[in-house]
Amino acid sequence: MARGNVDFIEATRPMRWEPSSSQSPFWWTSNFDVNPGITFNSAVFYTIPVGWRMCVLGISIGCDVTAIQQFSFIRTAGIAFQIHFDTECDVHFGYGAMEMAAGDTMRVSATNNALGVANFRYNIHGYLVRAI
Amino acid sequence: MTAKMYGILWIGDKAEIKVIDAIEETKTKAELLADFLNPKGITID
Repeated sequence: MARGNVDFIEATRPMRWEPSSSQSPFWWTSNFDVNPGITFNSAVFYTIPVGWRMCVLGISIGCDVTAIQQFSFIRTAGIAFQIHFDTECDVHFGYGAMEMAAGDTMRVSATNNALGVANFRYNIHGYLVRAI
Repeated sequence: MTAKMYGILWIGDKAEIKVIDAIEETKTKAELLADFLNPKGITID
């Protein structure tokens, strides 16, 4: 499939998963730039749909500059987790116990304490479970 | 500055590209410190 001068491959990934099953894998990967000394508060990027609940399995975050950066993952009720980190590599967290109900929202916040513009990247993965 | 967040949402075997706006960008540390030291914004001529 061609759009303009860019070729797109069908956006599917090989996996052993049936669409009719009661579980659905969830993966959100994102990045954004933050000016120095500024806190970036994102809008809601995902709301758990009605009839489903979500188990968050893990979150990884990273930044392209070395400084003590701050990152928060925020649900409807408030901050679910917050970390201060200083590494150019990705930091991974296991989060096997966090469950989100239908209507719960996700957004993030990040503060750039470096002297220049920093690019934050993060992934959230888990699975949606059909509520019985 | 209008910051944006770019992301890909995979659910099941479907992908969706999303562009999320920042709801706000807070003040700089210098501005926060100035607010703390002078919360009523009093200016002296």
